[in-house]
Amino acid sequence: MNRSAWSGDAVAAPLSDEEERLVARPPQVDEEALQQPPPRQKTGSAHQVVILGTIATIVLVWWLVPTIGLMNPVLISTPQATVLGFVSLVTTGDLIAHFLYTMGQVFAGFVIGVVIGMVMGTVLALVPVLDRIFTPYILAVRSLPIVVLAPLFITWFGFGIQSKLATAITICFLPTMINTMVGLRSPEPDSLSLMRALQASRWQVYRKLRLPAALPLIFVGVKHSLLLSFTGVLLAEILLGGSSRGLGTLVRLYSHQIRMDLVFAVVALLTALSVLLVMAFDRLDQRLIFWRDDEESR
Amino acid sequence: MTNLDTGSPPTELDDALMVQSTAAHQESWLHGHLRQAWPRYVSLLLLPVIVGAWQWAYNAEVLHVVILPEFSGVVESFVQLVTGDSFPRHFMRTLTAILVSWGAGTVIGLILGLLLANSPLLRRAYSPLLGAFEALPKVVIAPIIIIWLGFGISSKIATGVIAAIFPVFVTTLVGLSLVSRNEMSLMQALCASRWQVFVKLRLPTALPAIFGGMKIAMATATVAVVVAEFVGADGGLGYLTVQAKSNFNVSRMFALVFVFMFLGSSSFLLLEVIERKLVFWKK
Repeated sequence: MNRSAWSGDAVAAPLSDEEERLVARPPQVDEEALQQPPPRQKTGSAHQVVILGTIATIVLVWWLVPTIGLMNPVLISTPQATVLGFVSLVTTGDLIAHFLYTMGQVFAGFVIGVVIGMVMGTVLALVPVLDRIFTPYILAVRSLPIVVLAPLFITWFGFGIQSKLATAITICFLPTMINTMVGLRSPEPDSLSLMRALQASRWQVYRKLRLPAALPLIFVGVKHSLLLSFTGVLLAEILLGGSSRGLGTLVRLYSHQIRMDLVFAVVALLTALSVLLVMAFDRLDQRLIFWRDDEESR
Repeated sequence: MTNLDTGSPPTELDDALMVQSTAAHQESWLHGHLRQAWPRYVSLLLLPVIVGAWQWAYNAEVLHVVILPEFSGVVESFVQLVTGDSFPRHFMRTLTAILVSWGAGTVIGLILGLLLANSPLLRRAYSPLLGAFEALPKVVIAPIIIIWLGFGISSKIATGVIAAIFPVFVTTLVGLSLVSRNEMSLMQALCASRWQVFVKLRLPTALPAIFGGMKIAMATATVAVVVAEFVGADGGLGYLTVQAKSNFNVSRMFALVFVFMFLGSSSFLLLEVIERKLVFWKK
């Protein structure tokens, strides 16, 4: 930015105020937006103040609304009642048993859904004709909100574990399938030509080019599948009238009894759980897909 | 890549694959199949095959009648459902809930995204909080909201809004950071103001991503509205589904699945058309 050096002789007209200001203080590039992760120290304490202030405000408002009488305390619970509810769930109710029951189903549905998604995605990616034949059907399934199948599964499979697994699997296999398909097709034509010039076999093209190129994308799909499997199991548990175990069942039962302190406690636990799942997955992603950053920064 | 010399020479299939993947690369995913028409006809032929297999499975009693109703029964059910007196009311109610929550969620998501994209402080402060809320399966919120707002349409809209905010918010935030260093330098060299950089560079760069987020938001809003209708409602397509479920009326449930498929694909196509007009520079 050495415009001030040449603007005098190259541009006859004097600079307007606006231009003057811009020359004096060139518009700042939003470094934060361009660089990730942001190496900024200055806002280090400020953002903690903001976040703590926000959380304190939320808790305060949550406490004030029922206390003043803006909302019936039965409906909104209070922070202290929620904490007490959580403690009582852990100590008297067997929250841990419900938790393990739900998570077991989430992981079972997730694993089966991911395997199905990967196999279908691979087949569709490597045999383009099949993809073109099935595209209309895939689009139709994709545009269907798959949750509407849950009542159908419950009618078919009853109140047992099968209807929950079926719901989880059908909801969660799609992201993995689509990302596998798109990822395996992502290598540039040039790279494929190179592999061909090197006389690579189909397996080698797959193993050395397509799979490494696809894995970062597949991992994103798998992560979505995990969260959707969670959603699927919870949805089935909330909709199932006859089930008696699982965290979703607790939400349904307690909301029917309008025990909002307990509902809030379970929802808080579920939020913490999903955050932990995402964090664990991101960590795993960094470990396994170690080449991701190189790929993207290029 | 040292052990490549052991590989067999490329086969004709490899050539075909390579040509096709090149073509698929150059054209959009949707357009890929339009070029060579024959797989389309195969896929059209598949429809009567599926229907035939369905009817055969019914006649041969492969599955129980409750699991697999007669195909003609499903069609009959569908016609009965769609021509029923109350159907337009239920359909419009679900559609209204979806569209309103999608619109409101998009606006809120956009505002949140713009705020956080332009303020590093807010971004660092609120990203973990919003991330936590994004990760939460929204279905568990539906019972709470229904207790608060009742069985009417407002609880459906509230659930839908909560589900629709996050996709738009996240894609707005990411989209606004997509600008490359070179483009930014050019804007700087042209002495663009912050506002100009935003309107002429960052927003156009972000729009395709934001539109992608709006499409996802339509899907998540639909799911949330339907789930809320499942949990408790006095009208709407989800309510009809639950009713059919408690009557073990499987053919009616199938008919409703087809209605949902129509709803989903028409909103998808509508957004696709708007996107082509609005984000015309996107390939």
